[in-house]
Amino acid sequence: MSPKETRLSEFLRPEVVSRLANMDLRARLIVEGFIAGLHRSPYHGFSVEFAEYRQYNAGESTRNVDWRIYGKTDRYYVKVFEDETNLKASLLLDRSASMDFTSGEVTKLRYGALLSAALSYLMIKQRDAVGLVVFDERINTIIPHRSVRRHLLYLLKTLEALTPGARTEISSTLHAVAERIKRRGLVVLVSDLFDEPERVIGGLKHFRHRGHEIVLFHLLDPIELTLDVRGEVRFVDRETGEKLRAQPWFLQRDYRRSVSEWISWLERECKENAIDYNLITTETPFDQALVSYLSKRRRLR
Amino acid sequence: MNFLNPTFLIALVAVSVPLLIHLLSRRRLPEVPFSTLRFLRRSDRRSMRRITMRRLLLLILRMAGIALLVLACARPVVRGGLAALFPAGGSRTACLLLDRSYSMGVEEDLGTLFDRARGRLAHVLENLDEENEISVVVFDSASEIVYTGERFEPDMILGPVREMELSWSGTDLRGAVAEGLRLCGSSRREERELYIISDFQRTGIGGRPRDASHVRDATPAEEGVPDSAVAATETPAVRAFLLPVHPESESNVAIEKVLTPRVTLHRGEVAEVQVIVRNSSRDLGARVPLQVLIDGRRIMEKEIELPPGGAHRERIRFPAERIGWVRGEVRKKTDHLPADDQRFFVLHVQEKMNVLLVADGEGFYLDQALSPEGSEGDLALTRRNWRNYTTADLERAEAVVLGPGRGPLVKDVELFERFITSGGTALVLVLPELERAVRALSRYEPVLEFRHLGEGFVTVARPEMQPAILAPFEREDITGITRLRFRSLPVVQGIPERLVFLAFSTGTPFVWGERRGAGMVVFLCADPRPDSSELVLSPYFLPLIQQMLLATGPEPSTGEGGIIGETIAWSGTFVGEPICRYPDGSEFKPGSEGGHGYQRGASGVRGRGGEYRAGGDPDGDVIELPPSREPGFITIFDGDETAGRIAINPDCTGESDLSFMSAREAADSLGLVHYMSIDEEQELASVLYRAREGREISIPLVLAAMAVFLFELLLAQRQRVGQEG
Repeated sequence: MSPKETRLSEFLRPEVVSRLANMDLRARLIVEGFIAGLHRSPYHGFSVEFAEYRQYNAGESTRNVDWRIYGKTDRYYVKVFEDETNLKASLLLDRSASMDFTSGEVTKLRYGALLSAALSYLMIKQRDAVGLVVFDERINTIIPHRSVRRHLLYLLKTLEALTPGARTEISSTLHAVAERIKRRGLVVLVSDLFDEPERVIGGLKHFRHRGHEIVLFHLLDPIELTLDVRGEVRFVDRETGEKLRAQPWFLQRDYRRSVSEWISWLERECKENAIDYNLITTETPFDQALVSYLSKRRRLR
Repeated sequence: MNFLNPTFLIALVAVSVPLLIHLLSRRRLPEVPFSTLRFLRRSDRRSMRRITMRRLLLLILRMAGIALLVLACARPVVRGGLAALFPAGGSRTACLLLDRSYSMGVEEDLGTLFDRARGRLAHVLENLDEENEISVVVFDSASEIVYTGERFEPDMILGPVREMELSWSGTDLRGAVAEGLRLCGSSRREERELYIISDFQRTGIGGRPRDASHVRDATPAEEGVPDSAVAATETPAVRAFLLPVHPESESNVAIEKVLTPRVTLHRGEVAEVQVIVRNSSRDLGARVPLQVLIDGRRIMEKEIELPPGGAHRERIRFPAERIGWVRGEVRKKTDHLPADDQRFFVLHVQEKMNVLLVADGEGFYLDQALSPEGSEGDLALTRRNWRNYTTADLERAEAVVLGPGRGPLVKDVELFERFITSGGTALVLVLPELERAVRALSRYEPVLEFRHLGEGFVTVARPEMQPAILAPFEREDITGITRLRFRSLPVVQGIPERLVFLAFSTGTPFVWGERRGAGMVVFLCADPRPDSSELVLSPYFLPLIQQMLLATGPEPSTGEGGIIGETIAWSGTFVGEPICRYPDGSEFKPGSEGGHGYQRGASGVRGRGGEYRAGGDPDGDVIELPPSREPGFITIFDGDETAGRIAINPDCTGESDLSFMSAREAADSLGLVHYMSIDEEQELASVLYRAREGREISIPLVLAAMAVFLFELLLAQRQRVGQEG
């Protein structure tokens, strides 16, 4: 990695991005920075890319008729572009109380909002239609799919104003959203998945059943993986308020094993159901998350 | 199991400290918000029991460690099968302390306390092995080792002890215990035992033991006898057995002291002897018949009443008629401690007091007052005027009266001052011509102003307290004195009130006295001329002047010359070789025995009750007399003449108070930490067997506590390392 790339990558660190005031600016920084890091033109290859010619059908708009071909062959041909596929991407963001946890500067909810903003920005740049569902134990916000610039601003504004909600109830939310999205598309779920794992997978399977592609960003705080807390403490559950007196150092081994087993199970289940599982922490730079999305997007083309 | 130092068990409260810390720390845990307790709860369920167990284990270890340390400090002793686990001692040394102070002379139906103490000593010896190293120390105010040896036979010890007589001295139990502990400590035997057979009289133990840390710097060799507390702490293996012998009743009435105004009196002088009788019983009053005998003749018999714990001071007045050394004796009805029911005193009655009157012609009335015509009087008067008195006159005189006339020059004042400070008495009339003498002979340099009142007059105030100079006067006489009118008087300022015997009604001194060196100077604010006051012509002038000279001698002191067991110094002038006869009939010739001698020409040596001066020569010969072992009189002969007599009495200040400590109180006061009390009713053999069987397990407990703390430390360290990651 060149020094310039290193510097750009530094800018994509969550704690750096979160310091910017404007959500639009943040999303742009993530995406532009990310694309600049790829050494490619931002619009080359995955934007309005020419795909093929097809015969003009009566009644169609004449805007895309290739008049040069018509001059040479006296037939109407229409240019077909890649972006015309108009992918429907649904962003599902968990705003339950457990997402309002951090051991550093950026809470999981903040990180999720920034990631969703960046993805929205990127998707709308690609002319994909983006919809947003924000939920905790029920669906709080549904923003329908659009692909216009103005829609992006609306999405960003919504993400900017997000506050933590109540308890997590992912599975029911997934089922409800799956019922609502009629057209097949891409579903991006950003959540800590603190729900019954079987029911979470059940909800995701519902999407798969309806022909959706799923990218799952399993978002955790680093301390949730390690339980690196010193001394004897009293833990307070963010969602239930329940208290638990514990000596974390004593529980660490068991805790890490439990979490590891949980993640492995999720990973395995996702793999079996062709779900793109990505474990990220609030310390993961955004470019890594975006790479996951793009690779999936590319496969969908 | 019992404890040698059970007071420390109070510290078991400290065991609760870790528990309190444990409970308090539960409430102070920091709260950490966490996204979900799902996995914690799952892990917690598995680990909580282990955590709880470990925490409980730590808590128990801490509490157990503290408990073991406290128990170790309380010095537990185990017996029976448990004692067999600990090594026993080998050979034994025993030191037996036997109290023979005179409080042990309390008589009961079966003999004295001392007889019982001897019986207990014999019992102890029966329970010791003949191979044991034995020391026997008898003690009163001093300790005396009567036997010490690597082995013993009971008769070797019991024989001399049976012959032993009760002492007339007080008790120093603390010193005796220190001596006993020193003897035990110096032995190489493993088992060390100290037996204390005493009545444990409260006054014989005294105050608290000295601060051990203070004395610990000094080695026993430097100290002579180690302090008991030091010895007790530095020879911890000494096991003390306290064998009390207490009387059935603690009541006792003692003639505590006999006070006389001074040893030397003049014939005809009224002697006042004060007898102090004390009832040491706390709850019973007493009616005691008291007798006073002079030269074997009973001069007073009276029954006095004493409240519980109270003292009575009886004043007996009688004229000193016979010239010479008078034997005085005070008796009371004998009770169960006879030693303090009799007391002796001595008075030395001389011929008339030699008085030098220095006055010019105007001293006629004074002259008459001092030596009235047709009366033998008590004073042998030498009259000189201010111009012709000599130093030889002063040397012969016992008292000097400075009267009116020319008055003294500076050198005269110096002479009088020297006369007074060397033991003489001076009566100074406060007159204008004697102002220099008054200012020089009074240490307060008073401001004087002489007033003549013309037609007016002042009188003398009635004294609240009767001073010594008014002792021979009746109430009516004192009233008469207060009615006398004074037309001229000196106003004296600067004299402390406590020195004023009589004062004018205006508040200024009339008579005051000051002690200067060994002598006394009395100032009388009266002009011996009839026109200045009615005093001179009144019948009170003569007795007042005489009393001022006679009654202002040395402070009331005891006529009890010596204490039993103490060396006595006596000074006198001898023509031939002196011989001293003791109360037991034995005789002592000064210079015949080593240590006690006869020193010609020495001076300044005093006996306990005051100075004994036999003749006019102040630089007499001094005899150092060996102690008397019995109460009574030591008579000193110079040829066939009686040159002196000394009363010998026991020091019963503390011994007569029959108040006793319990063995536990005594042990605490003596600083004994490892002791056992054995009453007379207990079977000595079985008690000793149990005591010797016991093994102290302090050291194993300390080791166990250390092991516990070490384990706790490791466990806590492991936990700390875990917590800090």
